[in-house]
Amino acid sequence: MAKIEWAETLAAAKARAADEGKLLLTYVFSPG
Amino acid sequence: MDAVTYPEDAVVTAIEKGFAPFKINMMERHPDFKEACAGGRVMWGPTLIVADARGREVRRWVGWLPPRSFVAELDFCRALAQYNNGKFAEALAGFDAIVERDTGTEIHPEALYWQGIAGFMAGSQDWTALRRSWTRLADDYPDNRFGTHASVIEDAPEETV
Repeated sequence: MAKIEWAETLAAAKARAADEGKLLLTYVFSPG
Repeated sequence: MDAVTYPEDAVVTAIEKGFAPFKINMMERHPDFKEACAGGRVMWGPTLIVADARGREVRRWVGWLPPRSFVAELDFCRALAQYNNGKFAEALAGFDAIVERDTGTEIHPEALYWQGIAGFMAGSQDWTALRRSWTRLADDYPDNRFGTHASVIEDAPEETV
């Protein structure tokens, strides 16, 4: 089954967005 | 989100296609939290924030969405980002696809609203495109806020073409 590969840091996500021409998707969650 | 929406293949595919995803726990003092929230308050979880690579916010919303609605929302964000960049024809194609495919989702009336605007802008003040989308929106969604917004089309200038 495919799985979302969440970036470990915001900087890594931003770099990926810039490199791959993508948008940044931030998911702010509350546990439980 | 983690139990129902994110495990769906269609959601994984949609994120992979157009997004760099980052998740953050609002109850932790994560060093990236302030920047990740782009200066806006986070009042409840889940909050989803879509921004371009430079951090300019495209859209944010609060609350769970089922897989189909979530994918439609992501597509909407991509079209909106195109519009923000002045790529009106590309934005219109995105809104067209949502209007065609995603009837019954929460985003559908808003997509109709922006389809009209993108059509207007892509066609150099194309009143016909605006009138077509907004008339349908006002007729199909009279009780929705975007149906209300679009109802002003009744007072728009007559088409000149």
